[in-house]
Amino acid sequence: MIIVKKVFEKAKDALFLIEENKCIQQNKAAIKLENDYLFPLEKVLEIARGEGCMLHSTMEKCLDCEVRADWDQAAFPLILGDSKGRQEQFSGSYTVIDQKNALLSIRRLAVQDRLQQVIQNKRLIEYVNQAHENERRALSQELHDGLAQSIYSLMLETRQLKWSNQSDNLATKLQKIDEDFVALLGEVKQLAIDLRPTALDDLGLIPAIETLLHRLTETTGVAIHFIPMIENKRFPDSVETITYRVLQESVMNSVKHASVDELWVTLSEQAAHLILTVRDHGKGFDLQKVNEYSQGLGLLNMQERAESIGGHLIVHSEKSEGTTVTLRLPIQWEEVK
Amino acid sequence: MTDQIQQRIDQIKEELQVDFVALALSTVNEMTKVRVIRWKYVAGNTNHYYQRIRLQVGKGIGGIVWRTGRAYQATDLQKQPEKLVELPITRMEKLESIAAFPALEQGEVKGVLLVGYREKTIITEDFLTVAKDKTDELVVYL
Repeated sequence: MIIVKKVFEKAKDALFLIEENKCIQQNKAAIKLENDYLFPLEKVLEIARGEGCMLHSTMEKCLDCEVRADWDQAAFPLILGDSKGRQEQFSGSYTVIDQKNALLSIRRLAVQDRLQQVIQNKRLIEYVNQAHENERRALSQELHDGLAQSIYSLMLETRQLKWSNQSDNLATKLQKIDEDFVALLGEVKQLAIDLRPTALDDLGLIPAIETLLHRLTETTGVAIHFIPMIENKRFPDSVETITYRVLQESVMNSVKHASVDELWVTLSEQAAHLILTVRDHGKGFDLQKVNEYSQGLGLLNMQERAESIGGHLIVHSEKSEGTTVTLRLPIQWEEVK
Repeated sequence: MTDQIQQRIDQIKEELQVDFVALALSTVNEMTKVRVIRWKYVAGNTNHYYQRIRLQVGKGIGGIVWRTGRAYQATDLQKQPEKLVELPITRMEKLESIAAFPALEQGEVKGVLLVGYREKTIITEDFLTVAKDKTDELVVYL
């Protein structure tokens, strides 16, 4: 029995031996927990036994709400505040030993959570770096194989003029060179727009989105219906950029994975928030599964972008029903250009 | 002229025993001199979404063939979402294997012929030669 007592005493989790509603024995970790945090034992026991839940204090109010329906006494979440009002996450477990006695154990979660955060951050940075690198590769290729190539052939064409018989269909040749210059100029302009659309800086979000969606329809063949429910006006720089980039990414996600021919995009304003939705009626996917694999980082990246200015991103997807991505960004009016 | 090309495209589909044939042609806007390339004639199509696609020189099947003046080939497409985005016509028409050829006139690309299968198909050298000849024959119409 001595070893069992030692285990109880030395355990890193805070352990409380409960008889009816009183604590009859607690280990060192439990004493420390009670000292460091405001620990209302009765309330915690209520939660542990599932009398009420995190949201509701009594059974009458709770009425088997969602939180309670998923209840597991082996691991329930708990948030405790310390004397300075800071909150920390804990995980509790409640084991009934016999009719009178039960064991309550509390473990701090924060360390594990933080570790996961660090790992996720690292992966995200890696993903963003990779994305940058891919973008640069594409640009470099475009400059080298595209623009340089076009300039080279234009150069040859003009040189040919020098050698060929001047009067011999000169007009047709010049016409051809003219056309090639127009095409080249178009390529340069398109490259610049792909990098950063001038419409976003000069004309505002709605014209920029319209231009982007028109181009995406031409390059992918997917019909994209844009329904702006607000007048065109200027928003803070960060709001405009994040909305534009999230739109770009989620439309491409739908095109790549949903196998659809049509998409719906809406832009609206609600309670000082700018709201963007991208909806498809495609295959849909299991968000949980996608998040577990690295492909989910695109979603995480969009989420991080939104959260960086206090907004958030909700992805709702159901198999064979389709996917809706909703972005909500707060509009801070004092920052308006 | 238009009908003739369409007839020829329909024939090519029968002769080559493929599921889909498309011919991309360019038009130049008289005012702006901007060249626009689109899939102009198709046979074996399941929808009309190809009309939305505007080919970008240097990108996608048509664009790459247009710029390089060389044939292009790809297979196992439906398993590669990244590739399908680059080759929108294959996504729209659910093509599994494709080959595309330039219709050349004095070294200049006048059009691009695309042939494709919806089932996984091995494209042989013989097939490529025959298809290339058919593309060359088209030049007289362009």
